Amino acid sequence: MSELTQELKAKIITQLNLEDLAIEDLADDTPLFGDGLGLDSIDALELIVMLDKSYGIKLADPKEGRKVFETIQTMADFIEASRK
Amino acid sequence: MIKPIYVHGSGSISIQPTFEPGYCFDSILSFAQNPVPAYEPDYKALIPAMQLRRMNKSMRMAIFASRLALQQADRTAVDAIITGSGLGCLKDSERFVEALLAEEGQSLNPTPFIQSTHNMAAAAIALVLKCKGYNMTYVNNANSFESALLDGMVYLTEHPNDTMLLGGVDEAGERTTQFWDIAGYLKREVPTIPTPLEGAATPGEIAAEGATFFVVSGQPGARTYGKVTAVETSLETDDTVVLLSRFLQKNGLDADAIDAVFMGFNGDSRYDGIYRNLGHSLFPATLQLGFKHLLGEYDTVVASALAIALQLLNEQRIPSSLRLNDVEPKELKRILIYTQRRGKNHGLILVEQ
Repeated sequence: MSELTQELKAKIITQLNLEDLAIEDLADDTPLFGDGLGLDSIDALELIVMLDKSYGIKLADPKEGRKVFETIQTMADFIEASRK
Repeated sequence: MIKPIYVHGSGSISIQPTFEPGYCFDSILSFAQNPVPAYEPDYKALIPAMQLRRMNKSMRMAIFASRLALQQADRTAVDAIITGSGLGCLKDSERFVEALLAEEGQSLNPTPFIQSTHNMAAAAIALVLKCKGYNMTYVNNANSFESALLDGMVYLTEHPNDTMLLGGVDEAGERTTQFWDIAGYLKREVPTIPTPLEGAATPGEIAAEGATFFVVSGQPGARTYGKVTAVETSLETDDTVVLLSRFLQKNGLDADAIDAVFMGFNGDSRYDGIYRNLGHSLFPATLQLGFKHLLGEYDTVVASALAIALQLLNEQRIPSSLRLNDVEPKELKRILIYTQRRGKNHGLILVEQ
């Protein structure tokens, strides 16, 4: 799981052009939206595309995204659960 | 009757360090590549990091240059924004189309799509400045900036008390450059900046990129440092001497009334003869200046020529790097800018003190 969270951090930094952040700056439980990383709705779309392209997971229900994209950990949990 | 517009501030990013305070082409960066990327500032000095991360190069250059223009004009807001861009946000357009092909229309990233349009720079400036006024982008190949300028003059004739940001921006794209190379537009034999204009001139252009913005209004002010009194474009012409003669005549001038003429010599041996012919026919006793041999070629590079012309009018000195002849004008009060690209898109701008 730790390998997956590290991989997700790297992908998010690259995909969302978070130039000032290093992997070490992102904790597994940092909120991605709101007061945490401060991502917005376009970032949410980028994350949906990333899940599809990198992990073959299509988010069928947009409401599901709110929980899935809460933190790096919730994303990793969702990917693991989808693989089973 | 369209009235002159007054310039209160300018900011420029190009392949030379034009954004540095006081820079005026006394030292020139040399390049041996094609295309030549812009010499970029530390954008974070004027643009917050969270805004910067979603800006492509055109947007970054446009916002930084417009910030510099606002600083010089001592303004924080404007009533309207007009830009010109020949090719818009080219890299994101290329990225989006390439992804469209690679992914067969599936799972496309939203950011390159959103930012692939020509009007993103004007939109981004409006968002940053919270300007809800007139916002327009002109896409007319190498006359894009002149078209924006003409619209700015019309707008400010109708709203003389308004202040406006007006500029041009274009970026070089990798894939588009490959297409241009195939089409024979680009220099293949050792492209260099500064570009040789006389004996060693070869066919083709050196592609480059940049952004230049101005704060303008319909009224002079304490910080006014020049005015644009006339603009004209012509997609094609049979005779550029006639085109320029008529332009001067329409503005009640003859060639002797022009203190310096800026021409768009870019070292392309196929088209520089147009400028040479004009120089011999109309301006043999006039100071002739160039800029594309130092800045490369892109659709809105003429905006940089306007910024340089305004600087020369204020400083009353002529850097040797810009000179095409040795004529010494008594003073610099009126400068004519004339450019074309590949024999088309002729543009004329008259700048005065």
